[in-house]
Amino acid sequence: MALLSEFIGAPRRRNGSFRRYLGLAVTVGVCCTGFAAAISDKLPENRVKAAFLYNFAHFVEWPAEAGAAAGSLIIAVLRDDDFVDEVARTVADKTVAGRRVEVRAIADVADVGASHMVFVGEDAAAEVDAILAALADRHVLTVSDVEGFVVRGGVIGLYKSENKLRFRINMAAARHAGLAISSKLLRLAEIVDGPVAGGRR
Amino acid sequence: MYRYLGENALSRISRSILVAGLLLALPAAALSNDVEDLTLLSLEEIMDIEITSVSRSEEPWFEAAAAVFVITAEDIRRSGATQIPDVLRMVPGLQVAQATSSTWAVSARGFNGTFANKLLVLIDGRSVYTPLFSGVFWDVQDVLLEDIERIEVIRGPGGTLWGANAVNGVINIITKNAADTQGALIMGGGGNVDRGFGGARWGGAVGETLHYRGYVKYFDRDGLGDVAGRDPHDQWDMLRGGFRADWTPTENDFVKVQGDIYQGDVGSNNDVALPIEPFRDMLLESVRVSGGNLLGSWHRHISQSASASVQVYYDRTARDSFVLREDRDTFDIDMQHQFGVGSRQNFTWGLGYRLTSDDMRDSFGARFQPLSRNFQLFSGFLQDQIALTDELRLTIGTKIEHNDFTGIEVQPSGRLQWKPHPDHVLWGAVSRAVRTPSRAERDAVLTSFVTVDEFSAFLRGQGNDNFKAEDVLAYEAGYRVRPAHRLSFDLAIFYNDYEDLASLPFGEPFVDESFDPAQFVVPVLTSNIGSASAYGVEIAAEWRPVDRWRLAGGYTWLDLDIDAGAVNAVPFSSTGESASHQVNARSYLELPWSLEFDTSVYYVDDLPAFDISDYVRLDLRLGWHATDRLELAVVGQNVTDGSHREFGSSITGTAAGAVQRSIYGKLTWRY
Repeated sequence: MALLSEFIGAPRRRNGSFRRYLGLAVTVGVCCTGFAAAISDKLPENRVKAAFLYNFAHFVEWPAEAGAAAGSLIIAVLRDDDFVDEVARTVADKTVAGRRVEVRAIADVADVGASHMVFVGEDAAAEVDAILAALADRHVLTVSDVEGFVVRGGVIGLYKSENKLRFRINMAAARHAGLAISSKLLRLAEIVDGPVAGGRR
Repeated sequence: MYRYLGENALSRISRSILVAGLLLALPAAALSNDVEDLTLLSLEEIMDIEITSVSRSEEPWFEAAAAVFVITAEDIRRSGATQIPDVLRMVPGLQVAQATSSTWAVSARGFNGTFANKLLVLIDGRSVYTPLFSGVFWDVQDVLLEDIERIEVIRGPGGTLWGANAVNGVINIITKNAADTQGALIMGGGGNVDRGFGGARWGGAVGETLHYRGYVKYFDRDGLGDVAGRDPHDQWDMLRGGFRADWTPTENDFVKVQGDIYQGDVGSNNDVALPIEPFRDMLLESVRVSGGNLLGSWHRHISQSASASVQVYYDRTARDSFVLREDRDTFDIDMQHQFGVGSRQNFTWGLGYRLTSDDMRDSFGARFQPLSRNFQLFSGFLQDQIALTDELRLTIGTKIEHNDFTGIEVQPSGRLQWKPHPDHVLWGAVSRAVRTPSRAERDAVLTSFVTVDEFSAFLRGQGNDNFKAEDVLAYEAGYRVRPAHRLSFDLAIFYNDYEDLASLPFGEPFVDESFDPAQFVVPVLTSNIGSASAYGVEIAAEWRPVDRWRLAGGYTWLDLDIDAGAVNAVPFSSTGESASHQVNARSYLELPWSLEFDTSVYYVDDLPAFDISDYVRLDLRLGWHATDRLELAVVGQNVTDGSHREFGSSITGTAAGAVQRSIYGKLTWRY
C-alpha cells in the first residue's frame, strides 16, 4: 500500500517532482484567486432575486388601508438572513412611488406587523401553508421561491428556468389580498389560477 | 507517473501552464470590478440575467440519512469528461478505473472489477445492470451528457428501496425534464483519443403542458495504449438517439415517456480458449452491441402529504461477440405510494415485477445451460419515516423479493437522522442487502487455458445450481456540516460485514482424453464460501470563496479484507483490486471575458493485484462562452502523464490498456 503521507508531501522516491507539481498547483491557485472576483456574465441568485422584489414593489398597488401612503414601504423577509442583507443592500436609499423602502428580518409570521411584502425563505418551506393562512386576510404581497408556493395560495412564486429567474402570479390570491398588479408585470409573468390561502379555491 | 516523463518535460509543462495562467491573470486585474446597480435595469433586463445559485433547496442530500453525493449538470459540463464513468471519478467512496477504451471498473466501497457486481445503476429509473453477471456494461450506458440533470450516488446498501444488487451503492442518472431542454443544441468536437464526436438535440412544446425533445449522438474513440506489447484493440464507436416527452395535464399529474436506441462496434481483445491445439488464441474482434428502451411513468400529487407513481419500461440489449452472443429483453413495472399519517409519520410502499428473458449463442470458452431463460422477480417494500421529535427522524423499512434462483430475500434497514441545527446533520444506519446470483454464476461453464512455465491446463469455472445470494450487514454513520456560509463538509464512515461471497475453489485436476493431445483440466466451482469485512472513511468538501470560484474535494479510505474461505480458493474480487486511498481536488473558476478554467486532480493508490503503482491524474478544461449561444472548450485529460495503467486484465482474459494523454476541442451551440 502506497501511503497517503507520500501524497501529502513526505520525502518521495521520485526526485521531488510531485512537490514541484504541488507548488505549481498552489501558484496557479493563488494567481486565480486574485481575479476570481472579476466580472462575468452570471450574477448570484440572491442579487437578482432582490432586484425582482424591488421591481415587484413598483408594479403593485396596495389598497389604502394597507398603510398610510406617506409611510415606508415595508418588505419583510421570513427566515433567510443572507437574503435580508442582499435586499437591504439593493433597496438602500431607493424609493418606490416616493416612499422609502424598509427591510425587516422576521423569524415568525406573527412579527409581520404592517409589512407590505413578505418574502418566505427556504427555511420556512415546511410551514408555507400555515404562513399563508396567517397572511390570507391581510393586504400582503407574498413572494417566495419555495416550490409550489403559488399553487398553495402565495401571490408571486419565483422559479428558475435555464439559469434565469421567472415568476408566476396567482391572480386569485392577489385579488383576495386587494392588490392591483400592473399589466406590465402580468405580461412578464406566468399566470396561475391558483387557490387562495386558507383553503378556499 | 513521473517515471514516464522526463524531469525537463515536466518542468516545461509546469512553466508553460504558469505562463499561461499569468497571461490570463494580468489583463483580468485591469478589468473593472464594479458591481452594477440592478435596480437601474428594467424587469425585462433583469429577467435576462443568468444566475448562479447556492440555494439550499437544491441540496436535499444535505438532509439525507445516507452517504449521498450529487453530481450536478454544471459539474459534468465542467469536468470535461465525455464518458459517464469518467464523470464518476469525483465521487468519494467510488472506485473508478479505466481498463480499456470502452470498459471501466466501477464500484462503491471496494470489490472493484470490470465485472464488479455490487453496484446498482439506474438511468431515469431504468435498471441498467445486467443479470448476466450482475454488473454493468458501461460501454452502452450513455445519454447526451447535456441532458443530464444530475447524478445521485448513494454509497452503502440501498436494498430496502432498490432491491437486490444495490449491495454497496446505487448510481442514479437523472435526465432533465423536456421543459428544461427547449430549443436546439448542437455540439461537436474531436481530439487524439476522442477522435470525433457530435450530437444534436431539439426540444419543442405542444401547448403549455406538453414538452418534448429528441436527440442523436455519435462518437468515435481511439483505443488505449499497448501494455507489455499487447494491443488492447479497443477503438470503438457508438451511435445513439432518443426522445423524452413530459406532459403535465393538470398541476398534480406528471406523465413522462422516453426512449433510446443505440448501436455500436466495440473493439475488444480476449484470451480465448479453444478445443483444439494450440488451445488458446488472442482474439481481436469488433463486438456489435445494440439495444433500445421505452419507458413511461405517471406521477400524481394526491394531496400535500401524499403522492403515487407508476412506471413501466421495456429494455432490449444485444451483444454479439465470438465468445458469447447475448440478446436480452426486460420488462419491468413498478408502483409506489407515499402518504403521511398524522403529522409525524410518512409511509411509502411499493410493488414491482420484472421479467428478463435471454437468448444466447455460446462457444467453447463460455457454455450456458440452458441457452435461454426467463427470470422473474417479484418485489414489495414498506418504509415508515417517523419524526420522533422535531430534530430526530427514524426511517425503518424492508424490501421483500422473490426471485427464481434463490426464492425469498429480505432486505431491511433502519436509519436515524438528527438535525440539531440547520447546518448540522448527523445520521446512522444499519442495513442488510443481498446480491442474488447472476445467470453466469448459476448456468455458465467458463473455460480458459492457462500456461505456467511448462505446465498448462484448462481452467473450467463451473456455474453452481446451489449458489445462493451474497449477503452484507452494513453499519454506517455520517456527519454533514456547513461551518460557514458556502463551506460544507460531508463525512461518512462504515463497517460492512459480508458473508456467502462468491469464491472460486480449485478442484482436483484430472486428465481429459477428449482433447488431442490429452489435457489437464482444473475444475473450479463457484461457491458461497467467501467472506469479507470492510472499513472506510469518505470525506467530501466544498467551498465557494467567491461567487465565481468553487473548490471541491474528496478523500476515500478503504480497508477491505476478503477471505476466500479455503486455502485452494481465490475470491471473485480480491483485496488488491480496489485502491486504499483516493484523493481528488477540483477547482471551477469563472474568469473575465466569459472564460472558465477548471482543474481536477485525482490521486489513486496502488493496486497490488495488478502490480499497478499509485498515480496522479490531472484534467484541465478551458471554456469560453463566446456568445450567449456559443460555447467553446479545450480539454486536456491526464495531461501530466503520457501513459499509465489504471486497471488489470479481466477474469475473462481481456487485457487492459494504458490510459493516454488526451486533448480535444469542443463546440456547443444552443438556440
